[in-house]
Amino acid sequence: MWSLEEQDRHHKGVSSSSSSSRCSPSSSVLPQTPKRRTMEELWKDISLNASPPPLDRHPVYHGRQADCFLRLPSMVLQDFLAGPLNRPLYQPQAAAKEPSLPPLETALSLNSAKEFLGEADQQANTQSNSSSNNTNGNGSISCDFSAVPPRPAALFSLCSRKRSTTEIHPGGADRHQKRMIKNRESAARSRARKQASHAYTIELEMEVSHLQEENAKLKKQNEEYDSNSLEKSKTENDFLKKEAESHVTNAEIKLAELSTNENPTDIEKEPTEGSKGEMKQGESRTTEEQPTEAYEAERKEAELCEIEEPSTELSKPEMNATEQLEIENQSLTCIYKIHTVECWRSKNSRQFILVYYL
Amino acid sequence: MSRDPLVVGNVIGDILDPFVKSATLRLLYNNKEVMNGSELKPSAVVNEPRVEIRGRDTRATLYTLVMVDPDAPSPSNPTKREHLHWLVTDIPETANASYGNEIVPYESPRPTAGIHRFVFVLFRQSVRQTIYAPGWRQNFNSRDFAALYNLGAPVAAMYFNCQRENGCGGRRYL
Repeated sequence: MWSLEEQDRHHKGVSSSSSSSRCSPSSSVLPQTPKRRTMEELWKDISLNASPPPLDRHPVYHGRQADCFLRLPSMVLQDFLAGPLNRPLYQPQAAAKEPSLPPLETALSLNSAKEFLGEADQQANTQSNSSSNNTNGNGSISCDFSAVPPRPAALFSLCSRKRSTTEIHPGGADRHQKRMIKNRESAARSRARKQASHAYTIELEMEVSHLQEENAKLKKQNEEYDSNSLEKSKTENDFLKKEAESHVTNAEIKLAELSTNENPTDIEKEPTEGSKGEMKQGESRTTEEQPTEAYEAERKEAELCEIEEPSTELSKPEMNATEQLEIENQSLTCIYKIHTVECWRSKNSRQFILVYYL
Repeated sequence: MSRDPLVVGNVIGDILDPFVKSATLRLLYNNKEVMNGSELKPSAVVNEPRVEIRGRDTRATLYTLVMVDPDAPSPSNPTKREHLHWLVTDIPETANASYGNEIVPYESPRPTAGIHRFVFVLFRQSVRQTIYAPGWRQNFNSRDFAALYNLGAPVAAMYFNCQRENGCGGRRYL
């Protein structure tokens, strides 16, 4: 706690503004100084209140500031707002420092002592800083508020609601003040907590909406892709099918052609040159075609027949019919095995018939 | 106005400096994921949570996880800020903290006064380093810790609130 002496020193001396350094929670009561009396005089002169509370209030001072304060009916609003030091409540007599300080303050407020104001402004700034820090920070700086009284002009200049309510209980009502400060801090913390959870839910909601959009987009893409590929595959499929069909029809046609070509060779036994040529052509044609099983069988038969015929053609005209028939019979028995049949005539004019088997 | 729960809840400021998140940290107590800024009961956080870390590069990066209580012994009087609850190093990516090196074993949060924040801070280790346990749990400083071991800025952080299980424990007088 500040004594008036120290306060004077503070005002007139170095204007170091670190309030924490001055903070001393010990409420040591320093003895009255002669200056107080002058202030008391001032106070009496300047006192706004006609009937200040009597001396007996003093013992109650340390613990019951609030009560004294509230009981006084003649308090004017301006006095209230001006801060505790300006309260006309306190009688500036006893050993307590507090009562003595208000006179100084009222002196300050009412007179135009420039030096006071000048220095007090500095203190006001520091105090405003400290008080703002206090409400935001932890309670360890709460001792600052006990140092509130010595900063008169600050209270006068910054007539904020916050500060006025805290300054209701200066000095001795530390507990009340501290309680209030802590309540404030706790409220600030719970507000922060509420905001934090709220912010988190908002973030989550944003993410949800974002993900939903992405999901919809991707789904759409997926569908498009699917339908596209389906169509593509369908068209491809159709095309291939058609191709296959055409191939099949071609094959069928060729088969039919072949079969029609081959039938005449079966029937004829002694083909003419022209027919032979045709047969040969048919043979060549058949060999060109991609054979199926049945087709191959037919082909072989055709070949066989052709083989028969050329053999008969190749054979010398001297061969008589019986020999020819024999050859035919022989060849006909092993129908799928004969590859070629050849007729040879030796120098001795002997005829040899060679049959090549597969 | 920042919407980050870490900023609004004053985690950034009290314990950490602003950082850019570069990894996802998931904490699961009893298979329930912890939401940033949510409230949990002490009974739910008795045992250590499962940790899932996902970073940008999937190489063998190692992480250090710190769990502190910045509101010890009470939020209005955090003289023991920060109280160290857990310290695990060399956690491989996507693996649980059990694969790491538990320097300081997990201590169950047991707040006696007020609503405490419990903050998890994740650092990325550049190398596999030996980190020594501090002599005591209280008055730990995450900033100094990071500076001391060259961990750099945190890559992720998360916090939840926790208060006494039953009631407020009575008014505390100044």
